[in-house]
Amino acid sequence: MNASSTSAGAGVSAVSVQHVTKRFNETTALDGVSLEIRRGEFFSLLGPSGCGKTTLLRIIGGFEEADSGEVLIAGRNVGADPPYRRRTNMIFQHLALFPHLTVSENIAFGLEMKKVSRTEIDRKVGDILKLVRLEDYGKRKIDELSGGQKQRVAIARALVNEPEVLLLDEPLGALDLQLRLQMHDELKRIHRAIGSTFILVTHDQTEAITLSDRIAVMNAGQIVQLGTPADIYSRPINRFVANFIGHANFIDGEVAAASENKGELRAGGVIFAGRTAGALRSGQPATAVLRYEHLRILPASSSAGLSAVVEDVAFHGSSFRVTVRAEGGIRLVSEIAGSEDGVQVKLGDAVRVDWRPESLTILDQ
Amino acid sequence: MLLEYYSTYRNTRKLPFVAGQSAPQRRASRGGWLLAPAMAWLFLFTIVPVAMMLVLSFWTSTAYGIKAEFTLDNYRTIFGEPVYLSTFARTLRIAAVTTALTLVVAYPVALIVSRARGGWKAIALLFIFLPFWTSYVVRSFLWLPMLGRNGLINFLLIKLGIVTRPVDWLIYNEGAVYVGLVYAYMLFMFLPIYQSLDKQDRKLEEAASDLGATPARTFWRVILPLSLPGVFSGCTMVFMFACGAYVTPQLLGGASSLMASNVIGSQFQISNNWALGSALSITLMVIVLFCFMLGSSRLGLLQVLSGSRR
Repeated sequence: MNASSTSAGAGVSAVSVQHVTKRFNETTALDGVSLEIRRGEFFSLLGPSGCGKTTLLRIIGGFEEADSGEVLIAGRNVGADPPYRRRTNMIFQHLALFPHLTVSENIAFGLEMKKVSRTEIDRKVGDILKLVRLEDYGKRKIDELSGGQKQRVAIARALVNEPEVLLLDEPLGALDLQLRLQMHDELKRIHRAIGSTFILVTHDQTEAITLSDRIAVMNAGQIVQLGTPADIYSRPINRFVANFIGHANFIDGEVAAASENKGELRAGGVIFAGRTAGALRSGQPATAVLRYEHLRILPASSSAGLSAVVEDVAFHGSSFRVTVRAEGGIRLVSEIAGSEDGVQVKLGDAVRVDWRPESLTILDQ
Repeated sequence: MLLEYYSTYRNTRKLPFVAGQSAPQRRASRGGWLLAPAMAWLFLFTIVPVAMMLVLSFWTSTAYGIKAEFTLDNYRTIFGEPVYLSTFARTLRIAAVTTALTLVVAYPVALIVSRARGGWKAIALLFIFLPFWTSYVVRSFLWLPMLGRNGLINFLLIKLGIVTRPVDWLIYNEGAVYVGLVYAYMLFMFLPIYQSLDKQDRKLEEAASDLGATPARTFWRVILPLSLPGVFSGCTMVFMFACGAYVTPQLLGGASSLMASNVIGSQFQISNNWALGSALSITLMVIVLFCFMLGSSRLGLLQVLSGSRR
């Protein structure tokens, strides 16, 4: 779909990955991955650990060499160029700040390597310190900074070199939730301010969804789905993606009817209507995916949907998760927004559950 | 720049035996008897011999031995006779050059071994340790059949047709002493440097490369500065050992490259002048102590030796 509409129009991709394969001894880390990342885009590689996302990032940065395939940065084949000859900069998972240098010296390191003049270095370091809001910390030692401040030094140290592409290797993983959310805003702000290409590796779906223009979901060395966050969230192409992003009900059954992109799934003698992903035949086993928040709970007097009995109500802060047993013995979960009066359903209540057909996706198993 | 880093490195750490002395002292007064074995050991093996030497150094030397009569003559002799002062000067020079040479030899080895992969690292370490399982004296003697007139090196030089007659400047001079000392102390330089290189975060090298540093610049700007604590503790140890070198200059050095310990030894063994020998020992000790304090105030060596690292 929209995944294939890459690098349309003028200009070359910021990064072009072509059929890249990488093996470590017996294990295949990347299996013929191809990818076009647009200039100025905030792109995320999302997947569980061991899916190859970090290896792909390290190949783009020049820290690993692909066994086969090619990487082009701004249209130029970077081949076996070492990192110090690439116009990329990396923010490392554990930051890798130089402990023997001050904040300013850390940030100036890359500029000194490029033999930029001292006055120019001072100006650029001053500007970038302002951008990451560390104006008064230039003279500090690295071990005198908090986690969030170190994070921002790492960002500044990479960005001051004005890289073609900024590579971020799960740099927020070590921070606590509060700080991580704060850094999300910070990263977004910085990305908007400088407009260069960001590639983020993460296993945190929330992080990927909130930050990215596009996401590539990876598993077992391959890209499973590529698209905008909204796309991937509402139209996962398979069970892996649906399971990895957000929370969803999975209903196993068989296809009762299928047309071009609409279909029906029969499970426990009940019909679930929705849209189909990919070509499906009548009678083949399939799975319906329905997000928790897309399952509505209606009063028993309503005529829509299926009848159900409330089995559990769990408080989740801003929302409630209601587990029901619907007709045909199918257990479904619904997430409903909490209101000040609390939730309207109680354990054992008879209700009806309903969903919009476009919210339910029927997938090949 | 390196020194600058080093001095700040030192300043950011507290000296354990300077800071907060009152609290440990109070504790010591309550559980002081627990320290008794350690104090006894220190007394018996450190304070008693040094005190005896100090006392002896003020006794009077006669043709029949030493008499318990106070005199400053021994120290007058040391500071009056150029031969003793030049021996001390030579000792310090040889120790300093030995330290520098050992550093130059040991650092690259430590760097290569610390960057080797698992299996190779273990093999390399084994081969570095292996010679040190034999005695120091044996390791010094070993150089005689290597450097001697009919030694291995001369044999090879003749076989290869580089010289026709054996060369005799390979041994019994200061150069031979350096060969022997560098070999003898190599491990004491290697180990602290290896340790500081081995524990370095390898991601820092990747970060430097990412920021545009070639491997050479990564070494000068990242790897070397971070290994300085190891370099300084290695240098301190080798310098101190070399100041007290005895066997190596005795075996490999000529008459012109005798060191302080040889002169001291001969006072005890040959001249039977224990008083002068003791005075020379005390003088050497004070000189080394002075060098050590100079070094520690300049470079924070105390810090390194006290082991108060991250």
